[in-house]
Amino acid sequence: MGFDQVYHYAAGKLDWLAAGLSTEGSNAKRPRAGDVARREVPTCGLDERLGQVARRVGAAGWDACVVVNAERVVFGLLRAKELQADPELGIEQAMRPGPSTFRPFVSIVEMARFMADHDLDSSPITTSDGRLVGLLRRGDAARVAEELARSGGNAPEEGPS
Amino acid sequence: MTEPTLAALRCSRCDRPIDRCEFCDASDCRTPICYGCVRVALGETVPQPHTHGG
Repeated sequence: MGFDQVYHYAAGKLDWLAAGLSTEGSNAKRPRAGDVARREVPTCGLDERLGQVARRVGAAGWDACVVVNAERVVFGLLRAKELQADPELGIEQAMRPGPSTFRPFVSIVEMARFMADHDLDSSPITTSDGRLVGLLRRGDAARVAEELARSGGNAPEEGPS
Repeated sequence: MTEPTLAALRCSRCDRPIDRCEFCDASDCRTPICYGCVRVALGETVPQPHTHGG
């Protein structure tokens, strides 16, 4: 077929998609959680104090912060409620540990629907090995899903491709 | 002796007892969903066939 370098990606197609790598085909044109998630989300480490982090997050115009390690692996999440706790608390005591995370290839329509149903303001998007891609905000997900519906682009998918 | 804690929630799709909603992490979620059901619903995995082929 004219390919001189061919590799077998042993981890499988879902792992490729979960890493946010490029894809082709009709489904590849649909916006995904990883496309809409905000990558400039504030992050902090476990060894910081809540007060210092809350000030930084507020100054950046956010109401959430993702707790990560040096490799950007997600350890926890600070939403508005946690950010308002005692400023002297360490991050480890204040954060929601092990939050539910979602892969970048998840349909934005499904994410928007679930976030509305569960009244959830933000969801961390990570690769399959837990590294932060970005934070998906409910308003962003709803807006993109609505635009997709208006353009007639939210017909049922053909499976992850 | 401490009594084992009973899960207060049940998955809204498969009725499995769960400690918290695996989508929103809330223990008082109105539409709680288990880990397996949320991964299938979001297309992160496909439903697994029954181990005995049923």
